[in-house]
Amino acid sequence: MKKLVLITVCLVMMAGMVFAQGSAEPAVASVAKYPDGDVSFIVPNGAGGGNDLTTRALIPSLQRSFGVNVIPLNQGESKGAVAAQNVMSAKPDGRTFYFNSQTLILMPYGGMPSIDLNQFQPVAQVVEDTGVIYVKADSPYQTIQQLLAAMKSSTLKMGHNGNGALWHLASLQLAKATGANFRYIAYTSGGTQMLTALAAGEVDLCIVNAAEGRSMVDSGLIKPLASLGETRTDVFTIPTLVEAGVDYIFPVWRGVFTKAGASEEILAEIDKAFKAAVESPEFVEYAKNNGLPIRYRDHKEFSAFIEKEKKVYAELMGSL
Amino acid sequence: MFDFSLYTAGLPLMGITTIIALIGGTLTGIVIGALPGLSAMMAVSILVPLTYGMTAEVAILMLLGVYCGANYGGSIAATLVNIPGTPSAVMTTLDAYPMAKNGQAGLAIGLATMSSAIGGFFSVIVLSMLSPLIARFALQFTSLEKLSIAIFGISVMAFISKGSTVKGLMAGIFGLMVASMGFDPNTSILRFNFGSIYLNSGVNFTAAMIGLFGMTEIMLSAEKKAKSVPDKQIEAVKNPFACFKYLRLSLGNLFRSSVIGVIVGAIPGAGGTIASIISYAQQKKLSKHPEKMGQGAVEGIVAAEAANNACTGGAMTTLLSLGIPGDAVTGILMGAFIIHGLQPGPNLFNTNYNLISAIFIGMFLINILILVLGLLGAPYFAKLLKFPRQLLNTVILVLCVVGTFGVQNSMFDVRVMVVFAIIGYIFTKLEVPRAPIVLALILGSMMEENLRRWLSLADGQYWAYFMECSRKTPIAPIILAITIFTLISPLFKKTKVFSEDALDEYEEINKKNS
Repeated sequence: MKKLVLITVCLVMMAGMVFAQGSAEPAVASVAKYPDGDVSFIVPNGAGGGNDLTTRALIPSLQRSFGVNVIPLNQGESKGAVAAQNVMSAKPDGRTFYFNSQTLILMPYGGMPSIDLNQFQPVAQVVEDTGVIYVKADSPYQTIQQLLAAMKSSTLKMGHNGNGALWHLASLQLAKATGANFRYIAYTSGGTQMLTALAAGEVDLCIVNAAEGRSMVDSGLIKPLASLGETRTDVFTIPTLVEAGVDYIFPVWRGVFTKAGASEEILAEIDKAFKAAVESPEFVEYAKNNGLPIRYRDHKEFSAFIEKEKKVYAELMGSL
Repeated sequence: MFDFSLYTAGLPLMGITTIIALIGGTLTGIVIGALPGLSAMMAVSILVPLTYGMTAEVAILMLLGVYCGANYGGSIAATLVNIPGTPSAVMTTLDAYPMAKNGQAGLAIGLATMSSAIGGFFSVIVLSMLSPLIARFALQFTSLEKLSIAIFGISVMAFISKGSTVKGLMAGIFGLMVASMGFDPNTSILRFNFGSIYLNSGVNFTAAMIGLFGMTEIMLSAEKKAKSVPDKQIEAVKNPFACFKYLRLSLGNLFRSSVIGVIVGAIPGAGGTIASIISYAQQKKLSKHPEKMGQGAVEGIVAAEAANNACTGGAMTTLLSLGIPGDAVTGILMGAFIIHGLQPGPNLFNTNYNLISAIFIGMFLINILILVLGLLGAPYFAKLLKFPRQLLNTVILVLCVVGTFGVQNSMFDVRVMVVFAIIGYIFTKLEVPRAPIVLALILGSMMEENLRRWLSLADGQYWAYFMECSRKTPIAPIILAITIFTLISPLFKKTKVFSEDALDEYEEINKKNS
């Protein structure tokens, strides 16, 4: 009997340890000094991915500016939904940062209606990348003009990385700008899977960023035709779509957010720290090695930009 | 001219860290394998999260060391206490234990070591020759081909489960149901997430594995009384080198058993246990003294151990060249590849040529290590059996929880792990096998994703599009034909794919011994 009681007690304690989640955090009172404690930096992906590495390249300089620890937290569960939820429930004290691209704006449309974009205060944009249109190396369309002509006369198969995801949006906008009619094929594991299918001839074209396609272009399997940026990409010598006569650019931005509600003084402090971080030698070198074009916007510019982006996507998703 | 670069390209990756990880992994594997109740599956599943901080080649080679080491280590407990240290050592108990009772424990372990290493060697040769050939068709594996492979893998599930086929299928269906949770792969619409954002992308694979194979084993072992090892037998473990006297006599047996091991290993979901049962039965049919098998015969140990270690190379062949795991352990290894940003499959030969090469070299080294460590260390590994079970279980329990949490820093995953441990426990009590769940979790999503994609590519013209794909490459129709053949063949023949005679035989001999 005694043994049974003991076992029960042990089990209850174990269950308590496993299922306990509430964390006791000291109440923050002083507003005088920012930051008044360690800062957490939430990455909505697992360790080692593009977003994670970019965040980690920013951190050394942020630590120097803030004088506290900046702790990266990888929360890749459920395609970043959990990370976004955690930002929404954080305190608006500017001590929780969150890194993402337009994937964040797409979340409410991609089956996560609980994500409220108004809860995110844009803090700094750090990167502005873009997409590149790729075809198979021995495709019948060897120039962007040939491809544009084919788009209008027939239904091409367009690979993308999942409904409502980044490259799906890029191709929808392309279709809108050119009047083309694509058959969309989803490759939810992302860029590599999509490019492999392209090389195998399963789809006719797809849009991915330059860095991701570089190795397969080098090995002669696929061919880049045009980039969707404002200016030409450094990675390939190809024209932009605007040069090819289509009035359409697709900027892929990556930036930092915090929980909405932080005071202007705090945001000003954060601006200073991120400007320094983006210009720091660690980050500049990282961006160069990974083919990421740096583009800094402070919190005011970035907020205005995000507002514009939200409208674009709301319109686009509404037309789906 | 034959291109040898595939066998040398990995050399630069074999730095000192990699070698240390390799040795450490193999040693850990042998130790875990030697401890009854701790299987290769469990070892790999709880060690995967520890590899996050490592580079891909270090992590993968360490885990391969654990996998091969544990497969061999199982024979030590089989010899000394008549409990297979890992499930695949069941057939080893039949002859190794009687031999140890006769005071020849050293010879029994020596024979097991020698056969394991030779079986392993053979399988690595097959792996390194065959997988690049299969992978050459990399770009021909489009949605239809992947779909056919997944269907084949899932249909094999019906044959591989020990005992009741119906129960094996039930476990498989359960796995398929779990695999359908989360975002729909084609339209990204949420389904079966039970209203929780934590389940938006379904159940975390690693968490489920650790629950099913790590924690469930602890629960099962906690309810059993540990069998104590007589000191006399541990002391008798000396001079394992005597085994080389039997090498020449056993060459034919070694070769045959290794071939069986590789083939069975390559069949999705089969694995070491089935390989050693088949090879043992085969040896008994061919033996000049079949009546001696089961009473301490050299050939019994050789057949069983060569086959179960040869499985490793066979299972890796399908994993690397096609991206389908050959058994439950390689299923978990596949998870480890993905965590490190590598998608196993034909394309891996294009994107990570050096790593593939390093895997070949690494597996050669691992089998050398098994031979050296096994022969020199046998007396010490034997002492491990004295280690108190309760301490060991506690340590592993902690590793299960910490390891699961580490996958994506999620407490929710730990809860998933606990839930799957309970499911695994109930399944085991109901004699429902757990391996089909792993297979279904992996192949289920692969099957769904490719089927849906293929259907949208076909755009309603299914037959015409199927013919168009088949004209490009006949891979898919061939695989589908094999699938149909394996599914209907039992209707015409009385014997199952894996003959039940072999199983009956095992039970009979086991009864006699105990």
